[in-house]
Amino acid sequence: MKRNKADLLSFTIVLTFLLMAVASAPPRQTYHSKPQPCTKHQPINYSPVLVKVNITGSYNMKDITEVQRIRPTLVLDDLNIANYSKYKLADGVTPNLNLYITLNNDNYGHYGASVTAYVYDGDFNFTINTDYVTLEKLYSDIAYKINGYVTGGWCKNCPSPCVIN
Amino acid sequence: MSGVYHWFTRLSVRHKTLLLLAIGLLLAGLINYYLFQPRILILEPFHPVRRSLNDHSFLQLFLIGYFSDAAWCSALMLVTVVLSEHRVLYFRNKLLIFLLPFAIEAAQGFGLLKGTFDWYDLLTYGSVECASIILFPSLIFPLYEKK
Repeated sequence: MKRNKADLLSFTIVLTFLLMAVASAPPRQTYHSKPQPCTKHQPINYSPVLVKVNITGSYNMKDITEVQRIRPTLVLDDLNIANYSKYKLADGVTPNLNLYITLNNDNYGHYGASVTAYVYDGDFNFTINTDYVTLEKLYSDIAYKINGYVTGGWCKNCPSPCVIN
Repeated sequence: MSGVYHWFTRLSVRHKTLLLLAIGLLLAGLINYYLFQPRILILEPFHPVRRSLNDHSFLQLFLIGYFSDAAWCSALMLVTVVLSEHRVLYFRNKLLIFLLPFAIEAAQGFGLLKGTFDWYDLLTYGSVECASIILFPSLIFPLYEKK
């Protein structure tokens, strides 16, 4: 009898607190993670910034091997055009800046890209729409954009406008 | 209702305090939801506006994501303390109560309950339960209140 009473009591508590948990759930199923804190990364002031470039394509790139062999150097050239002698290809040393560039194609001959960059204490990413006819111009704009993040710093998950102190 | 009131008046001051504290924690969790995470089922009819601290820091993250969970789990532990000290719960009943927060989180992870699975929630529940056992050994040891 006493055991039944204990079971009933514990079941009531569990049910009550379970209802509270259900009542505090979001109204619709969400697959979003919880809000992330706002982080601000200061500009990278040192030189040279050692860069490792990883290029891949989200479409069937016939010349992907060639692109992966030649483009990293071209990306570096574009970066150094954007900021003279600021960047150097990491060759046999640990890179300061890891770039992951994924090329997109709209199947009508237009290129775009998704870029994610990692430094040891942070990361940033951006997307460029498939509005480019030549890869040269696309890489040049990617390089300018990356240089903007590197020299200006960046905010992540912050309300805009975000001011880097 | 009068039966609950009668039962409550017969409790010791300590147990009354613990139960009132549990209710206070649940209310604090609800207010926190109202202020910082109002998009929940129970608050949906009120269409509350989400507040934001200007400081987008750990404090804001904690208030949005974890404070209410910690308050809820603490309230659960306080109720269990009172019942444990009244010797009305067996070990298996306590185990069921102890596992409830983790079971809910797992159910969210498997899509059985709405909500977001979060490892830090599990850490929060684990911390609250460990702290509760340290503060109230009667939760697991067969102690009961001195009259």
